[in-house]
Amino acid sequence: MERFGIRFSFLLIWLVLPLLTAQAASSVEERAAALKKQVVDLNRELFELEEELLYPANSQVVVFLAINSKRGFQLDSVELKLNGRLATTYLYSDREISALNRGGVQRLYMGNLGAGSHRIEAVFNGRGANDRYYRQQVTYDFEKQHTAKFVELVVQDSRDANLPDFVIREFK
Amino acid sequence: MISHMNPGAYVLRILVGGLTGMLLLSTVAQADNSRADYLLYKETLYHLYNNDHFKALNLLESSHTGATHIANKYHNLNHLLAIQSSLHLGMYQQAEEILEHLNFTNREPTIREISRMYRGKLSYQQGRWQEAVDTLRKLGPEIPDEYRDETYYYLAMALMHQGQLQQAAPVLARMGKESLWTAYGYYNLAMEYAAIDTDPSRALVALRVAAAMTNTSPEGLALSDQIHLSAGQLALREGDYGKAMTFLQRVRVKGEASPEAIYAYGLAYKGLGQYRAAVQMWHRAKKYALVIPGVAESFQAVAYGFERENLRTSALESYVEAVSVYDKELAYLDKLIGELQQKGALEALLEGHSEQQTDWFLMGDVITNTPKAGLVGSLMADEVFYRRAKTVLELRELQKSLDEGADKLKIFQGMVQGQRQRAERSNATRSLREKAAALNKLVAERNALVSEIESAEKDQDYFRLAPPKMLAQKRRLEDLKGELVRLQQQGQAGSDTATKLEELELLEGALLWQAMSDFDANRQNARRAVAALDEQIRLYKEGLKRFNDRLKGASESRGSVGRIESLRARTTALSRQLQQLVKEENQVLAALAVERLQEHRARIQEHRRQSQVALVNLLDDIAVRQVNRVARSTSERGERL
Repeated sequence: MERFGIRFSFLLIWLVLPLLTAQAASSVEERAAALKKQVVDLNRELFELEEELLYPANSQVVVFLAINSKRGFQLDSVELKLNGRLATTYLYSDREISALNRGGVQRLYMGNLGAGSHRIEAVFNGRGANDRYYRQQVTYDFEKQHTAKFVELVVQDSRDANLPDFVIREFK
Repeated sequence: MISHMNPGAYVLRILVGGLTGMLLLSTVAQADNSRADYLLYKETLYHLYNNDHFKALNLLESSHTGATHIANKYHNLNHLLAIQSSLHLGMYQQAEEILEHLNFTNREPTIREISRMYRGKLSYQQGRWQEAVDTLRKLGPEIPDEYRDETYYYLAMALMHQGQLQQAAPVLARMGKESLWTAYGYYNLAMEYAAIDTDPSRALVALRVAAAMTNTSPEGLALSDQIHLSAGQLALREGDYGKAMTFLQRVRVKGEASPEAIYAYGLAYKGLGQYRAAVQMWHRAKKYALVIPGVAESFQAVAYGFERENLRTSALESYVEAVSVYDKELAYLDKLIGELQQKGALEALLEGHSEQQTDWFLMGDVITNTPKAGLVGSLMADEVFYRRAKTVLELRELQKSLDEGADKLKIFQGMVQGQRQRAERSNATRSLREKAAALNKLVAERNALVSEIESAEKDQDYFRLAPPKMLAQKRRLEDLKGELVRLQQQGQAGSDTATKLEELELLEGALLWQAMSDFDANRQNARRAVAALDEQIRLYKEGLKRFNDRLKGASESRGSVGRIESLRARTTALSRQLQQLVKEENQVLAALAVERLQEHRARIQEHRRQSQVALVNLLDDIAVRQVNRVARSTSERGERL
């Protein structure tokens, strides 16, 4: 009756490293590991091919999103327009927001643009530290040459305690 | 066999926090950071934090021999992330390769020490305890603080696995005071003590230390529950019911340890002879899935408590209820075992489980209240089952990603083939060689014209650049002059021939004069004609280049098509291998699940038997008492009569 033992939290285990039994890898695990490696390699090649075919280096434009703010702004979603046309919208999950808050950078959009002048507009929707819902739009004009262009949308601290700054900048 | 708890859920947070911290503190970092590696690092972090290790590995450059790591701190950090993801996915060979690569190329002491820590962890994960101990013991002071506790944790655990508890304890004592690594370490040490000591005091002390190290994060709270449950169970084992209650009270009602704690709390009341309170407590455990330890026992215990309180009707009802619940569970288990044998573990348990639609307001209790979810949770708590299930699910995910890749490749193939066909259709109208010959002819004509102009300028040949009309006039004058001279020589000419010849010479002179005066204009016209020709040639050349590019594009398309075909072939072959492995493992997993469910079934069967026996005994007892009472009252009436 007095069962003594340890019950692992199912959810906890799901996130845990596969070392629970700490036993030598079985042949199945070795086979699985070899297959995983092959799939990773294959996916990497596919990723490269996709970039070459769909987003050639001379027309490629990539938009990243980062959060560098410790204020209580809770990003909810982002809308991105390129030259007035809707490029993408993204609704964030709690885990994704957590990943961004901890320093991760999201590849929000990848597409193609010709050389010349362009305009990027981003609309940030979210809840401020004062629990008010905000919708902030930022616009940025940039010149693109015949090379890939990397742009970053950043949510960063500002003087306003409730609302951070929303910035668009280029990776030089 | 003692299981150890691992602070894995927060490993990633600490790890990446450590990497980031190290990034800021690194003393060896070179100034020139590669933007590409920086972006790669940040983007990989995003995937890592989202627990998407495959995507992280796809992004990362995991095996290379380039020199881009020189003066580039993010490069090595990316390697560390790749090692972390590889270890997470059980890709030990790949982790080993990257570690070797770092060992060969890295010159930074901090990276070297972190690599050493990962090497120790790799040995640990592969069950090579002594190797893990030897590696982790060598760690130098350059290891960043963020990694210190993790290092000591694995060192202590490797020592524990070797049964060297006396050496493990001092290692744990060197760990940070407010760290979940420390809490997990002490918890596992307590479990080791509990397994070998008859007196639980040493284990209880270790559990107290572990409890003091937990925090208010979800992982910390879950661990705290587990620590207090274990402490309560230890105290119960010793018959110290008051202490047991003190520990068990600290287990959160909403936590996963709650059913076991409730049952144990009831046992503590029972120990104190407070059966009514015990029954109340066990009643609360009845809502959970029967597979959770203590729940099936609670049904019997409630009846037992009523019996001890001499509440026989309630006891009877409770035994009947227990038998009915056990019957229901047995029927469900038989159905599930049949499904497992027929469909395999993936469909019957794992994927079917995730596809079950549950209303959001039930999600909080789904693990504990839903029989299937409870069973899956219980199976997953079995280390062997968990490892295999994790592998199968990962392989299944890989298969899905391969299917997505195959779909993309199909689209790319259509796209590239379309491009090639367009290029080839254009090619059919005229061959590149014909077009090049035409261009060469045009260029030759242009060059001839230029040399004509230059020669005319040099020779002052005014007529060479004259317009065609003037040249025609000149030819006409020459023809007339020649005709007159011929007639004169034949003696057929008239008397006015000489006059006419003079007039013709005058006209020739006038024409020459005209040509002379127009020479500059004619020259400019000729130059303009050359310029126009040059423009034509330029356009022709551009067209030819485009045509050539298109042909080249067609050739590249042919290359892309080849590449796509090769990728498709590899995808198909890999998918087939994955399918085979998933099929094999699915069967093994199903057999394992059936075995575990049969064990659970046997337990429930035993509970049912005990309840039935108790029920029969109780009914028998009631009947005997009833008979005795009737007999007594009959005898009393007889005596009175």
